[in-house]
Amino acid sequence: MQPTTTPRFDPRVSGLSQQVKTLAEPQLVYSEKARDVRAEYLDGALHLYRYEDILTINKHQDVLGNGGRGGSFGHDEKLIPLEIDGPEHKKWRRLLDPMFAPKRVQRLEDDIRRLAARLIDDARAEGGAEWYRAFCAPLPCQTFLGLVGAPLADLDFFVEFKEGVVHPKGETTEEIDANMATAGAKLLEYFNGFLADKRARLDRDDDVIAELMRSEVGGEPLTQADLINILFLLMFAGLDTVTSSLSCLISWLGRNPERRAEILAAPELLLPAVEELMRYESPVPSGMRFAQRDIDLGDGLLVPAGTQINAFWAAANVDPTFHEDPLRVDFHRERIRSMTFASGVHRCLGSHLARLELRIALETLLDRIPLYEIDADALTYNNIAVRSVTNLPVTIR
Amino acid sequence: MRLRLAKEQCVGHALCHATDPDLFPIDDDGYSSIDSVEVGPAVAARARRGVGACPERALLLEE
Ligand code: HEM
Ligand code: SF4
Repeated sequence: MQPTTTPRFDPRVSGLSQQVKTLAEPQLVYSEKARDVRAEYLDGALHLYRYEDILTINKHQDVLGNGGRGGSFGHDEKLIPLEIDGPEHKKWRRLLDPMFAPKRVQRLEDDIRRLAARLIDDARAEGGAEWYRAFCAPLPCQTFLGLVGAPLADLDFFVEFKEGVVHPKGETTEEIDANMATAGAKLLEYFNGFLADKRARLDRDDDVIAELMRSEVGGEPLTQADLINILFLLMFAGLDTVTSSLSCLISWLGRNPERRAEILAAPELLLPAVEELMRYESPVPSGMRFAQRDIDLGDGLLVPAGTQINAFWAAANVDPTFHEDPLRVDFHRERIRSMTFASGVHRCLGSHLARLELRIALETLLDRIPLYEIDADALTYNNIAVRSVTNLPVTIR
Repeated sequence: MRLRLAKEQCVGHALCHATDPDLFPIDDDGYSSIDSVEVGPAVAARARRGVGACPERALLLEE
C-alpha cells in the first residue's frame, strides 16, 4: 500500500514537466531521457521514459491508474472511468465503449466537417486571426455540445466555465484546487439544469447523454451523480485535449511548410501524417500510475510496492530503444506505434473521436487555406498537463 | 501463416482496423473481432502491417 510518508506528487507543479514547461521542442529532452536515463525519481515520483517499460506497467494487474490516490480535478467523486480500476472500471467501459466506438463516432463526421468549414471561413474573413481562439477551441467545444445534446447557444457560457475548471489559475496544488472547485460549482449548476431539461425530452434525443439516461448499470439506472460525473469527464478528457492537439499540429505544419507540401501533393498522406504528428507532439505528455506490489521491469529496474509512477507517454513516443530515428517526423513510416492515447485498460475512450476531429479539421484547413502562414516567433508553447500552443497567429494571403 | 488475437491484450485502439478494415474487423465496441485466421502469402504484407500497428502487441502472426 502507499507509504503515508511520501507527499502526493502533482505533475502539474513538479517533476520533469517543470523542466520542459515552455520548450517548443521538448522531444529532444524526452528522447535523451528515454535513451540515457530510462527511469528516475523526481520529486518523489518514479518517472518512466521507455515504451516497453510503460507498456508493461499499463497492462500490469497490480498497477492502479490515475485515481490510485483518490480523485482530483476539483470534483469530489473519482472520475469515471479515468480514476477507477478493476471490475468497476470494466463495467463502466463496457457501457461507454460502444458509444465512442469508431462506427459510432463516424456519424458525427458531416457535422464536424460543416462546423470546421464555417469556423475557417469566419476566421478567413477576418484576415489574420489568433487560431487557438478562432478555431482550435471552438471546434471540439461545439462538437462536445452536439455529442451530449446541449444547446449550441450556450457555447460562450460553457467555454468560460470549462476554462476555469480545466485551466485553473494558481501556483500551488492548494490554489489550483480551490480555483478549480469554484469554477466546478458553477458548471455543476449548469449541468443540473441541463439534465433536468433533457429528461423532459428524453424520447426524442439520441445523443450520448440521452442514451446514458436510458441505460442501466448493474440493473440500476444511472444516478444524476453518475451522469454529472461523466459530463465532467467528457469535458476534461475531450475538450482541451483536442483543442491542444489541433494547436500543436497546425503549428507544426505552419513551421514546416515544405512538409505540408508533401501532404498537399499526396492527400492519402493526411491520415498517417496525423498519426505521426500525434506521436511526435504527444499532447498529453504523461499520466500517473500506482504500483500495488513490487514489479520487476527487468535489467535491474525494480518498482517497489507503493511507488507513484509518472509515466511519460511523450518520452515513450520518441524512445530510441523502441522507435527507429524517433526525432524524424516521417509520414511514410512502416508502422507508427504510439502511447499518444496511453495503452492498457485506460486507453483513451475518445481516441476514435479525437482522431476523427483532428483528421477532418486538418483536411478542411488544408483544403480551404493550404498556404496559411504562421508567425513562428510568436508561438507560445505550454507543456504542463496538456501540450498546447496558446498563441497561434495565422496569416492568410 | 496464422493471424491470431490475444484477446485479453486487446484494448480497442482499432489501429489494426485502420490499416485494413477487411483483414482486421472490429466489433461494435471497437475491439478486434479476430479469433484466429489462416492468411495466405498474398496478404502476408497486409497482415504484417496491421499486426505492427497494434500498440499492445495483441495481434500475432505465426509462420
Ligand atoms: C487528441 C486528443 C486526446 C488525447 C491526446 C487523449 C489522451 C488520453 C490519454 C493519454 C489517456 C490516458 C490517461 C491515463 O490513463 O493516464 C486518455 C484517457 C481518456 N480519454 Fe482521452 N485523449 C484525447 C481525446 C479524448 C476525447 C475526445 C475524449 C472524449 C470522449 C476522451 C476521453 C477519454 C477518457 C474517458 C479517458 C479515460 C479512459 C479510462 O480511464 O478508461 N479523450 N486520453
Ligand atoms: S490495434 Fe490491437 S488493441 Fe487495437 S483493436 Fe487492434 S488488436 Fe485490439
